[in-house]
Amino acid sequence: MIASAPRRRRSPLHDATLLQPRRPAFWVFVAIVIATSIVSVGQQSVFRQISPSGWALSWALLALYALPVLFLVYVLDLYEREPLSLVLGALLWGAVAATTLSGFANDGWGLVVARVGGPEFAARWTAALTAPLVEETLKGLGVVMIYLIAPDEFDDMMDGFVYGAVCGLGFAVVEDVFYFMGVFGGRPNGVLQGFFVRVVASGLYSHVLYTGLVGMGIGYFDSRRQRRPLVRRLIVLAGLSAAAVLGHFLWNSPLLDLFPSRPWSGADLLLIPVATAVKGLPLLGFATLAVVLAHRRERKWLRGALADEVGGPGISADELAVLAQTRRRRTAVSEMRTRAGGRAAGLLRRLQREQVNLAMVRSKVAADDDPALLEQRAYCGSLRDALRAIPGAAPADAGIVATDDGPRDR
Amino acid sequence: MTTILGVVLGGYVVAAALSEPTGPPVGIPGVVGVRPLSGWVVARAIVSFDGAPSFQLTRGNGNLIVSVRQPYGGDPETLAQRYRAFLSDRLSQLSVSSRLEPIRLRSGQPGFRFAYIGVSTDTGTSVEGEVTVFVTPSGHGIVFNGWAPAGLLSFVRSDVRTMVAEAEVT
Repeated sequence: MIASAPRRRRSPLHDATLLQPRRPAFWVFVAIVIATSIVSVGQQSVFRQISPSGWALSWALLALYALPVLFLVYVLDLYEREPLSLVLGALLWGAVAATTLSGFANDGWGLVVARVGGPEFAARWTAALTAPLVEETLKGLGVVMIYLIAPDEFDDMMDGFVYGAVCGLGFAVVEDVFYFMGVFGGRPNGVLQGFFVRVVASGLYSHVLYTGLVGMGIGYFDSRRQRRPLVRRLIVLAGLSAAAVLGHFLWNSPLLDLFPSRPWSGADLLLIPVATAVKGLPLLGFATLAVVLAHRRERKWLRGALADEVGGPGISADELAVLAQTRRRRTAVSEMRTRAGGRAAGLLRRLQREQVNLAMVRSKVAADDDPALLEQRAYCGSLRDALRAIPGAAPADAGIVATDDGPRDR
Repeated sequence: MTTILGVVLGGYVVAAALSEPTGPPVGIPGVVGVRPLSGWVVARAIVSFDGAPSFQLTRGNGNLIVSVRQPYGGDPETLAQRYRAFLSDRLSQLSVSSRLEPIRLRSGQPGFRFAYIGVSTDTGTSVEGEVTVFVTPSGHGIVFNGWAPAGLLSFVRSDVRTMVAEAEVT
């Protein structure tokens, strides 16, 4: 007889949603998004009037780009998927609030550049001198807003990266529509040209990276509250934000500009990806390194948090070894599916998720017999029992233990 | 909220503090003169409206073209219609605001304003603009066309409106 699996339950750790009417930040978020959406919808309406087919094509092409990027960013956080409503909130802020507010702000600071530097200087440098600071601040404030709405969801740098990158993605999509319609003429052939330049040749280097870095800084600043001095946290936040602003500045500036002049011929189309790579690759390399280091830190934290739990009812040494490596986790689930079927694979995935939650609980409670910890251990044990009861199923194998600090204690 | 207000409105406050008309008025003697605000300079001559004398001011991405039809015997509404036809020859997919907005210069001179958006047949880029027309008592039709690449007009709209409102019309 096969034991029935324990009922699914809502995690006590990650149950926040965007809808937090008791928090003032929620209402500020709602008010700003509604107010800016009026302007944003009006602008899209103008674009639709210019060329309905080009406008529709713009959104269709950008959906092809944005959906996979959204998925990739979402799964980058190895151990804890952020609540979808908060992720969508970050996307909405980037697409509606940050773009609209940036439009007004860039306008104002553009006037300052023109007043101080004159028209020739303004024509060359306004985009570089205004947009990076203005846009990174306004997108970063979106991440801060999500934090103020659901502070418990910011456990580590990667949480900040996810919210920041998604906020940047929303911004990039709406900005791309603006470029396709405004700069590339809005007709279908112009839209296709714009898609090549701004997405195919440049899509790796855009706002997703900039705001992802700012978000990482915010994640670090908050999650290391208990373990790192204020000055160090400020330096990391300022450093990552400065990297984003500098990358954005270089992208918008006339420096290192190898972009061919229009109209473009066939050879120019080959030169465009080179021109964008020259400006974008350094920041892409930096952001990749930051994500890899953050992943390494997450793994070390997981092993450290679960070290005292190994051998108990919650997790075995073999299970921890598998849990710590993303590829091994996926392989284990895949092998389980082959060996014992989809139900067993689903149960193993649930067990792995709850073991990550066990690490979270372990790092948040002081006493070894804290009721929350006991409950989580028992829940993991019951999932394992249910899994073992399925013919052909068996726990994952191998083992390893390490220590380091990780997410904050609250 | 303070940070958002500071970032969004700070530029306007600083720009207002720095803003002042610079240099002597430029224009067509005896008809119209415009004092460029700081950051604006006279640009090269451009294709004019029905051969009318014209001059252009520019501030990077923003431009203001002033054209004078002299003599002009019609009313401002008809002048606006003619300018729309002129725009439709140069812009494809032209979309013009449905009504003429009555306005008045600081000098009391009445006129009309309309907005447009379209795609330049020369360059293939989308542009948007705001046209203001007057007919002076002395019989001159004056057209101010403030324009910029689509989406960028808002960057220069306040400057354009200030220069138009303070234009010296004889």
